[in-house]
Amino acid sequence: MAFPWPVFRIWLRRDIKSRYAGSLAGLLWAVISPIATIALFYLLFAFIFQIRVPEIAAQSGFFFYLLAGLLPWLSIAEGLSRATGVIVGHEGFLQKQAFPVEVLPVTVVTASLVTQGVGTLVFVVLLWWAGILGEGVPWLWPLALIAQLAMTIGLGLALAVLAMHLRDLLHATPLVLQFLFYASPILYPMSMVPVAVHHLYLLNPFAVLVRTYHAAFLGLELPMAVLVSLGIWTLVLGGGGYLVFRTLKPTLGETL
Amino acid sequence: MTASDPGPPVQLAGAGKAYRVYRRPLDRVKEVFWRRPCHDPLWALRDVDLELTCGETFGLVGENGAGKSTLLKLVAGTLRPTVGRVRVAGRVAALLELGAGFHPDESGRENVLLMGALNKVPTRALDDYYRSVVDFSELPEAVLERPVKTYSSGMFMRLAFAAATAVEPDVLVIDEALSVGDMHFQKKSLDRIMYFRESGRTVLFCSHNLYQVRSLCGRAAWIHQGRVVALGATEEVVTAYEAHERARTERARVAAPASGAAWRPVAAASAPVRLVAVTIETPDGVNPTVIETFQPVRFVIEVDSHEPRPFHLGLAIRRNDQENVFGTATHFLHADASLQGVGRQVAALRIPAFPLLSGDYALNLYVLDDTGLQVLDMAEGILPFRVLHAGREFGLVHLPHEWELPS
Repeated sequence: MAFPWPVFRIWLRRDIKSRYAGSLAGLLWAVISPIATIALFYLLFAFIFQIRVPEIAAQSGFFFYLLAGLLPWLSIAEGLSRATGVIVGHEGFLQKQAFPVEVLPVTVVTASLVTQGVGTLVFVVLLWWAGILGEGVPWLWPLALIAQLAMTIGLGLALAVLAMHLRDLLHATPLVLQFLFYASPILYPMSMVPVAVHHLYLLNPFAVLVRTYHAAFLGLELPMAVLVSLGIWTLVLGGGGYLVFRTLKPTLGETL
Repeated sequence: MTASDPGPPVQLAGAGKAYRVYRRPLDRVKEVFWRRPCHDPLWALRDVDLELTCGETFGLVGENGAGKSTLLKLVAGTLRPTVGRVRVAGRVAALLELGAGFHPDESGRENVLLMGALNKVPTRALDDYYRSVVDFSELPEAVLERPVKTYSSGMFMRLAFAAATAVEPDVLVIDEALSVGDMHFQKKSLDRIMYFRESGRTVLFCSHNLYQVRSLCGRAAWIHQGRVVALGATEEVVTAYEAHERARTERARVAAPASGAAWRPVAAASAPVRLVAVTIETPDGVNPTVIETFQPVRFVIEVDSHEPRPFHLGLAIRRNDQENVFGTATHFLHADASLQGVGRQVAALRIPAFPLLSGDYALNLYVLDDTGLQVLDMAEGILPFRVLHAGREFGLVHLPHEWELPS
């Protein structure tokens, strides 16, 4: 099936706009909120809660470590939990209007990248300011982003259509996401994890993704196993999610 | 017929639609993974075989809940068939639930552009599409920038109708949508549908207005309890349906007797032509209490016309059980000579020898536009009158006859 790009463009614009509709600052909020969050973290971790991570030499290293993983994670969590409910939420609309249903999950996943994009921009400026921008491995960044997109879109498509048959997913998805968050090295560095269980982290697609981001921005060590795992997860979640969606899409007409 | 004949524009083969009723939520999942039915099907439509030919206008009749709307939605693509096949060649415009795809918080412009994209209008043609929608809807530019939730229902419908029909469809699916907005816009939308029809598009049309079905459709289907029970020439199908309906109302009437007749023209104050009065003239005078069979009778209809646009008049005589005895309209006899002119207009229907036998009757009156499809004003069950027949023939109507006796 050909992806309906024009519908997607309009729907994406509508999704982003509607979130800030009626507010005075409007789309500015998309910029203000990530900057404010980052500023808050900075105050907290650079002045008050001055922890250092062994991996990073720079002052307030934990602040940078946290942001490198948290920025993509927030986008992933938001995208996936919204995607799970998006077809269910548009049930009435879809009953009345012939609509390419794949646009809905793809849109919410894509829209969640806006905050990540703005945040990443600010983050890069801070890295430069702290003088550690050179530590990163720039070519890993597009790789990580592509993997993130493929995994979240695939998973988002599958979750969205599955939730029509199994409403329990609406409650289960946020719970599983919370679990995956703590099972990823975002709040803590891998060096604090016993080496014996390091290989278990290869089983969490978002842990390997976060580690790739750590390498891309901060130049942390990236074992080959992590990169291979990322490749496999990208194929499994991206391709598999799409296949699940394609198989189950015809059943939507039944429930609608 | 060209070499690249695309086949029938709309084709349903053994098509059916069942809504699934699950006893437990888990059955839903089981069914997905086990690929084994775990539900009780609720059939809204079954075994529909239907092929429309290119350029025909096809009517659907049937009671509420018979499955007409389900069939229309299958063709429009909002529903998928549970069994069988539905194939539609070309672009479909569906006037089913107008504006159902509109988002109340979005501007008219934004909504129209989405409709264009959904109807696969190419991106470079989107501007032209938008312009033609705006022109047709006659809404000012400033209004189109406002969220559609601020629109009056008339404005909303005008925009929705314009957006649905500006895509130059090959197949038009209409569900009772012939009355959109005010009189002026109703006329305009009707004209657009007629234009599609005349320019060879295929129209699938469902209405409770059997008069409209009769005058628009070449073929029709009657759907009863989810199945096509009659399919063929409109007159045959509609007559069969009417007979069924009559039997049904007959049963219902026992429970609820008909309300008293009253003069109640329904037109809005803005109607371009309004009924003013109707009188019956016989040699005994005006509005006699009794008409005798075979008397010459004139039904004189007075209307007020506020615009110089042409119009037609229709009159039906109905028995006191609401059964139509005879109905006619000016355009049946004089298709190209409509009434016209501003001010009081008087027309009369003359029946030289009134052929009805004893009984109680009343009149239905209609003012129609120049196409004879849009009802500008109407009054039903008015001016009740009684007919007495001095002879001994009985029944409803006196038929010309003679007895041939053995000599």
